[in-house]
Amino acid sequence: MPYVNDFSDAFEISLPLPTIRTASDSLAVSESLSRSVSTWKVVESHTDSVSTAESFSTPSVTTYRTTVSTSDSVSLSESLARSLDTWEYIISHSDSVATAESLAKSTYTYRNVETESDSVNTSESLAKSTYAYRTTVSASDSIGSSESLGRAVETWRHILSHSMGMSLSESLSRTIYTYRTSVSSSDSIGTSEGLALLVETWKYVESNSNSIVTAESLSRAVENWRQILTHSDNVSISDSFTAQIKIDGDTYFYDNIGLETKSRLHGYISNGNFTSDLGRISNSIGLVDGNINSPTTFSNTTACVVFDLASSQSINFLALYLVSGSGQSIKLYGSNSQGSGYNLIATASVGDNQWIITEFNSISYRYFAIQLESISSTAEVNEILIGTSLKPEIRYSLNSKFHYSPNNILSESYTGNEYIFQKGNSSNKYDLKYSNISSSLKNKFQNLWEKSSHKKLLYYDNTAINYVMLNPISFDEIAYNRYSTFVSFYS
Amino acid sequence: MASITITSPTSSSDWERGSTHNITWTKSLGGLEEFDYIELKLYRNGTSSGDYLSLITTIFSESASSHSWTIPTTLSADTDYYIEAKMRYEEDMP
Repeated sequence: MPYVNDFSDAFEISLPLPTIRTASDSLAVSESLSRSVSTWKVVESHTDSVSTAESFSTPSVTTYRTTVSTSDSVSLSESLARSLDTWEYIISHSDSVATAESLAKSTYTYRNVETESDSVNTSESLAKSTYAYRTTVSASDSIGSSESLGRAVETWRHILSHSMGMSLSESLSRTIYTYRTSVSSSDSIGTSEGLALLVETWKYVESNSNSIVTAESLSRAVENWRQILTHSDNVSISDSFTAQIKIDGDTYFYDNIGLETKSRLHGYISNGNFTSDLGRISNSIGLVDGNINSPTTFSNTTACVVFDLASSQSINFLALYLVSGSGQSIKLYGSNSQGSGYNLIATASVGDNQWIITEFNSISYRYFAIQLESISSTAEVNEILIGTSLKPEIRYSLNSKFHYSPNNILSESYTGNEYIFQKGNSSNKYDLKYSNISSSLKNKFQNLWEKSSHKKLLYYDNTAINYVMLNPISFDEIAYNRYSTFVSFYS
Repeated sequence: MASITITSPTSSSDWERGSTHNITWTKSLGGLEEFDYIELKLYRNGTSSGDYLSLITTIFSESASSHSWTIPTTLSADTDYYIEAKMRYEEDMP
């Protein structure tokens, strides 16, 4: 019988992908990447049923991009590279290990340090490290793996940087920098070493024990804050984080150069050169007399007051009080020569009937000039403050006091009639307690008092600027080189 | 005239050793002709008798149009494999 048979086209028979589960220091890069994909399937998705292609192309890389880099704009390959770099820096404490080696070592580190066992396999050890965070630090087992990782990074931001405004990468960078410069007093240790020491420090110094593991030490640090600083165990972990975030804001702006005692020159500055002209200024002492009701008058189109400090001194802010005239252009110049070389330091922000502070990087000059430009006829400035700001490294204690005093007294006449008299102006009073400060901060407060004992200063309480008078400050030594004090002032 | 045409695998097929795939075909009997069974054979590096590797299966069903095949793990990885589909009659049986 006739028939026509057929051959298929030539087709390929290939080897299957190898299944790799063992840890080894001799892995090639491609092999280690294969393992990381397998790990993701088990740890992040809690299932091994997602395909290799899916786990590699989408979830594992996406998780890194959104959790660690806080950016979706980094490419897949870049984010994968960054995640491997992170392991190298943080876990291996060395910049010189290869990519594959760092991945292997990171898993090995967890097994030995966290679980104290080498018998758990690769995927299990990664799963346990994530679980450790969830149950120890977040006190909750209901959050997912990726969320717990995200929160761990957030924790750094909350506790160490005291700021939510910065990015994740910046906060991590600043955290390490802070440790290097503040705690170790050395900038010569590397980034990875600084981070490792940070965790170690708590274990050795704060807990007096070397037997607790890293996760536990982080947990205890949070507990420590709740019980010692808030005197309460009732605040939740999340609340205690919130409270710590708010450790910022209070800043003292004071005249550390004695501006009211310095020589004053009247005239104007043009092209960096000062020309004397007494007629352009009247009552220049009004700028620095501590009285916001006695203004200095500037006339002509351009007029300035130059302060001669007798020697070069450093400042980092300019504060102005105007009753009216916020439309004026007010500039601060500095020079080391009376007649020439004036450089613009800052153009002040101004507002009416309020203090406005303009901050800039610390700069030193002998001559500082306040100049008003583009004056229509005359303009007035009621008070200025130039000097240095003091921002304490720590927040005042929670038992500090803020109170309003109407300054009234109640009197009763002989016949029984009651009269209320106001003895003076009402005032707000602040008693800020600093329970445990360093000798460095003590010296800063001491300088604040010495320079401001006779003159009002500005206190920014994180919401408003207060023009206040300082009360004398004394210090109690509570331990070697550690002090407690009250910073007390009133407006 | 009766004919048979293999529709899978094709030139773009890449089958892993140890995996299972369907070999599929279509038939045209072209009149009253009948056949008794189908042979599927595996070739490598060509389709002459010298390239023949093994008989995959023999199918005694006129209506069948596919066969599930698990690729033997003893085969080498190569891009030059062929499958032959052949309609046979009882008198062709060895």
